[in-house]
Amino acid sequence: MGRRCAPHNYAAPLVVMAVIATTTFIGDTRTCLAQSAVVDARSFELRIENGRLVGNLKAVRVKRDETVELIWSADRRTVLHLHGYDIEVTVDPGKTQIMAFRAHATGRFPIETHGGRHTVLLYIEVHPQ
Amino acid sequence: MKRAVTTFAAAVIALTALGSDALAHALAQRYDLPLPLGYFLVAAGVVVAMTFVFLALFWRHREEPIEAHDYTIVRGTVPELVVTSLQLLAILTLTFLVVAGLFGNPGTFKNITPVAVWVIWWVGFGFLAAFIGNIWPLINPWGSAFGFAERLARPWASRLSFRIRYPPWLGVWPSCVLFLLFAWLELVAPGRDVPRNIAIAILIYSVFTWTGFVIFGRDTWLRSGEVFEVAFGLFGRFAPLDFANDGRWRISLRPFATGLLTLKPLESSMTAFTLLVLGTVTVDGFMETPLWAAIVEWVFAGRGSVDANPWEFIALQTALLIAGPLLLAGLYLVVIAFMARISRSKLANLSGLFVLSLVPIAIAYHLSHYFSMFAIAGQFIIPLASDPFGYGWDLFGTTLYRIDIGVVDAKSIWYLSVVAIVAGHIVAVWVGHVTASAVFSDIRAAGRSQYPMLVLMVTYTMLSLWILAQPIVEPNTK
Repeated sequence: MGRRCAPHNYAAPLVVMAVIATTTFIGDTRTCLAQSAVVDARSFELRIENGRLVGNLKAVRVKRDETVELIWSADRRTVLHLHGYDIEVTVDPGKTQIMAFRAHATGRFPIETHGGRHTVLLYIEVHPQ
Repeated sequence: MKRAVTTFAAAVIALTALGSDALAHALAQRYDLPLPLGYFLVAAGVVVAMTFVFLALFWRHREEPIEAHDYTIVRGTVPELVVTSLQLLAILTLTFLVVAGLFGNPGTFKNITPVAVWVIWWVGFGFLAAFIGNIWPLINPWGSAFGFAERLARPWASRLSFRIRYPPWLGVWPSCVLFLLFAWLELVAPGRDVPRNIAIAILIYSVFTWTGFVIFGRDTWLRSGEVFEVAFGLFGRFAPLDFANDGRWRISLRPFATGLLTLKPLESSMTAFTLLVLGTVTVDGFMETPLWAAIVEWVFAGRGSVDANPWEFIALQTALLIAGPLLLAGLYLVVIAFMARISRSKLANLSGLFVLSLVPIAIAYHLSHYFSMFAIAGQFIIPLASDPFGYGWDLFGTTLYRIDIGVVDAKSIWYLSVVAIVAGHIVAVWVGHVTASAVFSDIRAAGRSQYPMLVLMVTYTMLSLWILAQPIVEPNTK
């Protein structure tokens, strides 16, 4: 017969694992994996050149129920569409165009250029409070 | 039929040339936030911990043999009237969706067909089959329409099929091919959200299915070549309600996942089908990760944009759709080969016995992946019910209903995902454990045989968690 099963041998690593997991859970609930270039603010100035966003911004992060203001300018006429919230604006060169909304729903919403090519410029991340 | 194929092909080509307008407005667009690190680590930690708990506490405890154990709690009969009404409703709905798709408004969200087919039926029926019970065999519109036709034709013909002997080696291989094709239409095909394309696809599939009925007989083809009967049947093994036909429709209640326990190895074609479904579920999520976007950009680097080469992009996605399930199948067979060596059993037998134990992991992932999409995109059915053809009607006064994108909060989805993934993993380990202790006469061989399987299960669960923790991105054009 083999060695009898001894549950207490496993208890120590389990407890350690549970403690680590709980600590991480409490300490780090706000971090997202694989995020780069994320900004925390409510008003954003965004410029489009050659159909792409100037700068290295990939996502804008806000909290639910915040009022968000995206101030757009572009080097040529561009139609922009924020999915989910379903807001469309047309930006003309030389003028700024504002996309303003209250972020009432959580999620990650793409803003695309429409008309001709559809390209994702930026994601709006609305996080829970 | 030939004309329909030509029209379909033409529509696909036209849409691709138009610059993938339909793709950008993809119906299945998901707005999920990535699972935060904390949730990810807790889920991963608990999954690993529970695997060890299983090893420590339950491994040497022999389960009752599966064949001696009847898990049924209560059973009953579904009244004939209910079955017939549901069947008529299903046939009418299918006809209605084809008519709406062909003659209604061509806009994806202005016609009821795309939402009804992709969201309500494909995702919704999948959830229903997995978590409540698989009613597809009861209401299958193709099967029941053929059944009604046979009943009507009885005065003149005893049956409507030739009942040519179905070659046993063919198994559910026709369904494997069809599922791959269906997954391609769902995940890759441009123009998949165009009402007319969906209607034409339904028509082609209907003719194909009825041809199968006529050649081999209805019941034989339903078991082997009606891909949705096979696919929903697989999900339905997890569900607490089970439907079976012995002349009348019987319903029985059992604990979750007990339908996945089997002592009879699955046929190799059914094992392949299961691995195909599991692989496809993962590929679906992987296609939205930054890693995949990086791979696409790497492939297209220096060769122009994705927009300029739509066919190359489609080819790349198709390659992933085929490679994903093949990779999973390869890993599974390696694990089974180890298991066969450890336990000195036959590889073919084992591969058909343990594949179902992976199903709960895929179901848990599928729920986490699609729940919010179902809750959000599913709402389109409310305004569309009032104006199904997009003609400007307002039958029920709901045309002006606005979709509430805040109907489920991200936090609820995160909790749901963690609970589902952990529970799915535990159930998977349990199914593997019960199967092993029933199959192997030596309890210690049973225990040892499961080590490679546990490695695969933890890997598969972690892969699902990792995908959920990735921000959703579309491969971008340069």
